[in-house]
Amino acid sequence: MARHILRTLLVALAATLVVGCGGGAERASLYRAEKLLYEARKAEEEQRLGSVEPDSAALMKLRAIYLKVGKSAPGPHAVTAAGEAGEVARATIRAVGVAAASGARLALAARRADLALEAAERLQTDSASDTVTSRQAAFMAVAAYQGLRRYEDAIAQMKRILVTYPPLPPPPNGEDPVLAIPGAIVSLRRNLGDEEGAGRELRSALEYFTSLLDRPMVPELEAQVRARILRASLELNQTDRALQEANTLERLVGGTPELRHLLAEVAFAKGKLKATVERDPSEGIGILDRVSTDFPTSPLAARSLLEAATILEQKGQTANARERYEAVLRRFPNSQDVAPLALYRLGIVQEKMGEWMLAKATLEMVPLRYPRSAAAAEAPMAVIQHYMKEGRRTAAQLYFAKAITTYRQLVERDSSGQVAPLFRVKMFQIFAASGDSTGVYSITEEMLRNDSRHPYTAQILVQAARASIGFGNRQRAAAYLRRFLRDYPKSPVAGQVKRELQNLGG
Amino acid sequence: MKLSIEIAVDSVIDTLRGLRWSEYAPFFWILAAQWLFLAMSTQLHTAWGMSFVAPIVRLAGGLENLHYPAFYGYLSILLGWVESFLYVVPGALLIPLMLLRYYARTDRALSLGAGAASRLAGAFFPTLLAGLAGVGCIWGWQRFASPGIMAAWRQWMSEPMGGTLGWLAVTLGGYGILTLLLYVPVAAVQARTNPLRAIGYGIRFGLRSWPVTLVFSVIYGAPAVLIQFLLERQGVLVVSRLRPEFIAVLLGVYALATSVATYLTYGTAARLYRAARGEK
Repeated sequence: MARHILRTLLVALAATLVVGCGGGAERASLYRAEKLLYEARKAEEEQRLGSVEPDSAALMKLRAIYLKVGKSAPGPHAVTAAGEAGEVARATIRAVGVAAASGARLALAARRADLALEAAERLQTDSASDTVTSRQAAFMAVAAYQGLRRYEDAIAQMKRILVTYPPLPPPPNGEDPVLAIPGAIVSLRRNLGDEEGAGRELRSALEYFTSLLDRPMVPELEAQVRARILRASLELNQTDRALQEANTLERLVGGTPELRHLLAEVAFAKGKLKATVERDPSEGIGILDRVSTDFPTSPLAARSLLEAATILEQKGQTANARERYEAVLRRFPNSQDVAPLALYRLGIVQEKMGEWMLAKATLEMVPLRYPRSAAAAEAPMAVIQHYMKEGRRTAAQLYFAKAITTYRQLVERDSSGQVAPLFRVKMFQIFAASGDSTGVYSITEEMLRNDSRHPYTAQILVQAARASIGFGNRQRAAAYLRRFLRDYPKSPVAGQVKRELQNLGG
Repeated sequence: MKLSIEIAVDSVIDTLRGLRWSEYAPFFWILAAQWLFLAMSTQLHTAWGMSFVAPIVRLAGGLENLHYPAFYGYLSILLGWVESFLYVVPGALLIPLMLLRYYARTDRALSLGAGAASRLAGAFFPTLLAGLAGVGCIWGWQRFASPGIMAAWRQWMSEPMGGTLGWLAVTLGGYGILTLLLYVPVAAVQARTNPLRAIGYGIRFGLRSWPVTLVFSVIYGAPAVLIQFLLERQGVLVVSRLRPEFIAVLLGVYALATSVATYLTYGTAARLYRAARGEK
């Protein structure tokens, strides 16, 4: 009897457990993924807290720890299932996504963008049913393409994101990264030296943001979209449109207290418009000055000072411009998108004011203080141009060596950085100007090795071919042109290059 | 017979001198169940571990805590519910069993057989009711009185002393409630009683001996209180700085300390009750 009761109790207990925990395996899988993700994060944290910065091998080891997360929770995950099962599946796929993104980030840091791209593509396939994770995978792919220097693919991927994922309502004090994509495309085109393309992308960005307004959206998102429209129309010099958008945004912001930080955007636009359109820029400059004092924590605080200084410089008010460039450097010395340009323009203004020794010292400071900026590439050239303008050819030629040393140091500091191709272009220009054939050939080879398929490399190949003809080396010139046609078959100048190659008998 | 400090001290000394495994065994079974539960809690990454723990978590209404490492922050609360269940439901049988084994030292009729079984059966409901009342009162105390007490202490003294003393006051309050009901099982296993009389006698004796009972139960419970303090006040630090699984180890030690303290408390209570009634 007692045995019978015990058996019944055991069966009842087992039945309760089985009924009460449907999906135990799936929950365990999620828990396992979270545990491994936690351990991977902890390992990375410990590595980064160490006295030595982790090298590529250490980064790849950390990446391997993150990859265990995906292996611990193999799919398919029933994301579309209703209720608890769906929630568990979504949470699992997101944990796997976070781990994959961290793995890709480490692969990029270890200069293995190919692995990052592979991970992004796999995650995009595996997580197609979960928008949050597939969005994350799409962003990972952009970073990987940029790491691989496949810039056109990166731009195409960014455009796919714009089509596939509409921007989401912003989190508190933030914004959906999708909104930053059109601006990122424009910046990328500019960094590639494609100003015409950047203008085209800017117009596309304006169209994209305008089209977003057709959909219903929360006021916070609408304000952010309108702020982007305002910025794009300002950059495109569409003054009427910009003014209209500034007024609309002002009304929208006025009615929603949480959006008051966007008042900086409105004031910046109004100040810039007044200062550029009106004959006397003082009122507009006053507004721009106030943006930097009224909204000191806004990213526009530094921008507004720089904008005021640039407008004043264009209007010939160099002393006032100088005052503001100095203010930017004093108040926002770490603003990487504004301060390098302000220091460079300060040097130019000082030169205009006849203070050449001071200007030279300022210009030489740019690569030292901001070695990863485009201004660092322009500053040594500005010194050379000053000597050329004054007819001091010997002084200019003597400065070539110093400029080359500066550029070489900048490249060594970050040989795969975004500005490195520009530094190499500047070195090429100096070698070409001084008739140094060895320098021209070696820098061209260096660009082919490091910046393969970069638009700057296309320009350099054509210029190097022409320089080679000048140096009497027609064979090398033909080789450069053939390489151009192989690497850039769709280039608008491909026809002309073919003709030049035919002339060389290639 | 009048209750005196001497009788209480003698009861404590006699308890500590007369430890017996057979008397402790019922509490060890509860402890074993707690340890099994904690061991399973560290195996949530396996399907069987999750299948065992998840239904309990669901019953406790904490399903959103089944994530790593947040689960270890919640484990002390979950163990609290498991502990309450074990000491109240199986405890309604095991606590009187421990008391009967103690009384069997002098009353051979209680060592086994029908006499023991009928007393166990008679003690079950009063002990269960006292246990449920105890858990209910503690829940109400922590839910409604604790915030006010903590706030008052924090207002009176600056942190961290205010918070620490406030926490200690709330914990002592809990002990105060439980010691009032401590004698219900002791009264329930006595001969010639019934459930109502047992509850009445137990509470009356609890009130009468309340100060001394509170003192010895707090002394026995001090190690468990210390671990509880560490877990509740420094739990986040343990999870973030050490391995989260360390929480389960600490809770295992806490369960052991509680188990031994409960055995000693009931042992002393049984002796005190008997001495106060003039029995030997």
